[in-house]
Amino acid sequence: MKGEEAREVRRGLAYSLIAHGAILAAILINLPWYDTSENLPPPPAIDVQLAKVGLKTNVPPELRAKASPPPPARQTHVAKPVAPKPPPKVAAPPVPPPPKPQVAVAKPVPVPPPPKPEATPKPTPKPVAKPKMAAVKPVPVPQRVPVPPPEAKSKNAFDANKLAQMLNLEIKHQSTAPDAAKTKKRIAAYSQTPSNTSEPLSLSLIDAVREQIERNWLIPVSARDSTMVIHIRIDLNPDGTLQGTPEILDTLAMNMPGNAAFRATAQSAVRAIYESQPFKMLPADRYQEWQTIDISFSPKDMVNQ
Amino acid sequence: MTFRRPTPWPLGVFLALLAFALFAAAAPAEAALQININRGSLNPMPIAISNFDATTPAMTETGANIASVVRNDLGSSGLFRPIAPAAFVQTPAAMRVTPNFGDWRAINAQALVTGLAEMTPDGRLHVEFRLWDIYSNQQLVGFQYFTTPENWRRIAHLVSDAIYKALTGEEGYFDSRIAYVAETGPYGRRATRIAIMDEDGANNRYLTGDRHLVLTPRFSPNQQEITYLAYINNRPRVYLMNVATGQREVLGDFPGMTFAPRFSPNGNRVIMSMSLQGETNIYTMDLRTRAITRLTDDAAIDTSPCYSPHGNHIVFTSDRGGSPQIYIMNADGSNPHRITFSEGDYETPAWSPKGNWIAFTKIYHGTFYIGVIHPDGSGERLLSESFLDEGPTWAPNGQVIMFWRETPGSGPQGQGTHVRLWSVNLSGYNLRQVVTPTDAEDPDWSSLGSVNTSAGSGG
Repeated sequence: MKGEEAREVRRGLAYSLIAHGAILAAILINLPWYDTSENLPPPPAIDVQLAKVGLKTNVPPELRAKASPPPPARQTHVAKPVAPKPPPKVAAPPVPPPPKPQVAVAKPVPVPPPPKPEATPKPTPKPVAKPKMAAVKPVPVPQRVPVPPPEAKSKNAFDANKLAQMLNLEIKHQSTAPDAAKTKKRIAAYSQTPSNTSEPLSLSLIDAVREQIERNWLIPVSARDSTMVIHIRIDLNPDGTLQGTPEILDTLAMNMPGNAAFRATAQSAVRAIYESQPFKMLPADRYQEWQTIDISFSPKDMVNQ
Repeated sequence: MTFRRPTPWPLGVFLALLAFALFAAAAPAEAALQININRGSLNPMPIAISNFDATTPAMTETGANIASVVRNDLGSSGLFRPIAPAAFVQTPAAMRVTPNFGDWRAINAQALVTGLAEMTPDGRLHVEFRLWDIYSNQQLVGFQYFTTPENWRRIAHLVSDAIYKALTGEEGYFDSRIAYVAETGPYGRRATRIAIMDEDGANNRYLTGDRHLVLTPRFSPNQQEITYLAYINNRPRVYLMNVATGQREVLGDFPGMTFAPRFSPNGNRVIMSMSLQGETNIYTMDLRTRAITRLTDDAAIDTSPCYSPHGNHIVFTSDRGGSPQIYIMNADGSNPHRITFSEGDYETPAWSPKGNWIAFTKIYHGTFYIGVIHPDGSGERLLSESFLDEGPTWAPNGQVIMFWRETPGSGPQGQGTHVRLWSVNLSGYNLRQVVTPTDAEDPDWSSLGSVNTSAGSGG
């Protein structure tokens, strides 16, 4: 009888251990397959919505000035002094230990963790009217849509000259590949354009961020023929600079031994983000929508290059 | 043991808990803005390689030499752009503790290499290096080596390989060698010698005299031997040479002429072609038992055999279908099937060390191409094109292909003709000539050197 009871207790303990282990494992692994962002079927109505918003936020300032009354006075950037990043103070770096001899796997030298900006005060721009959900949801970005050219849209007057001008603009834009200078100009246009906070972030803004990162991502040779996907989460300050360090979400793959290709690719993606910041094109008045960005890197469009 | 006894309900409980855990883990995922990056740049990565730090003048020179070799290695890969040292702000000595990463970000470096060269009390060379990520201020990799001082160049290649691997995710290929046929003399009466050199062209030396015509030198997997074709007494036959001793022997007493030899991946066999009474077939010879096995049997010309990296398949050229095309068969000769079906002739296939590609020479409308194709016959693409490109061989990491290119001369007897080695990346980028002291053809790229043989013992 006693033995029976003890066994009963042990069995209970076993279940408990297994169950706890399962929870722990699930949390540790972070369930990469549970990231449904890729599989989520795009809500059907989105295209229409995005197109509409794109037109609004895309108007280059010079054309806009002609076409519509000047925008209401509004801070285009959040006041700079909001979050002065503390200078990274590396307190007396310790002498790194000598590298391991020969074939041993090198251990990273403990480097003092980059200082976190102390208490980044959240700038409170205009209260966002719409619930966050509506604003952020429509993410399914089509593969490599060429950034739509800034189009002139006149709301009041619609004359033939303008139309011709618009057409020209469009044709000209399609015929030339977006080069760095042009993108820069366009980005400048974005940043000066106040956005309508009741609408989702414009697709062209997201495209601008994407382009900026793509230009800086030096794809390692091991990733060029592969289908790997790297997930990185970044936090941004209101001025578009990085807050803290980019977080590689694929912890399991990163720590898998022998996965040099994945590690090298993930590190290259992190470098691309550092190279690309600050993301000045993001409208400061909608900081809440982009203060955290999940970026997935996959070289699938580059396969066989 | 009670742990092992499954009862009906705990599994259900376990699954329920697991499901709960899944939801619990997924729930906190906030609705962050999502951006997908599907393309990037193929530009080379800017990297700063500081001279290796040293305390004596002799070691300072060695440290500078090592850094220079590393710069050359990485730059030649086409994947890195070493920044000119003139732009460096910090001296090697200033970085003994930790580099000031801001100084290196300022010159647009994305990675930094620092190192140290010193002589140990017992007269050995001690070299260590660190590769730093300039943005995260972290060491990505670091090793140290002990060796004899004459080996500094080899150490530099090992450093290059470690950096290459950390930043690209692929193994490096700089600690490897090239065997090739060196040519001298007037066109039409060329003297040929078998030569070997380091991957970067250093330490060139000749293994044979120039009295006989030699062709197709091929390394054994451990680089101790080379098999090649020589016309001695006007008889073309396959020979085997020990690289260290220079000793050589005829491989097998065949009645016909033998050619196009290659080692099997484990080094136990040599595979080659033999011509006999108008038929050319593929044979293997076991190097221990000297037993000969015939693998193909038809009236066509079957030649240029090459094993897959695991040794279970063989790729070769055959004109059994009317024109030279590439075929694959099992290692025992069974199931031969053709993989190239495009227009043109396909010759000299070479299986990539990674197994995923086969490089070939293609001749189409009188123009020569070097190309690659997957073993299943898909994905063919051409990497180079010229008057005469031929004989691809793979870098040990399967990322670079070397071949030889003949440039026709302008003279009436072909004076001015050049034959040189060239390399191109699998991407088709970075086509460049390999520096050799003389004209050169028929290269074979060795596997990576084994670290233990001459890098010395680890600290």
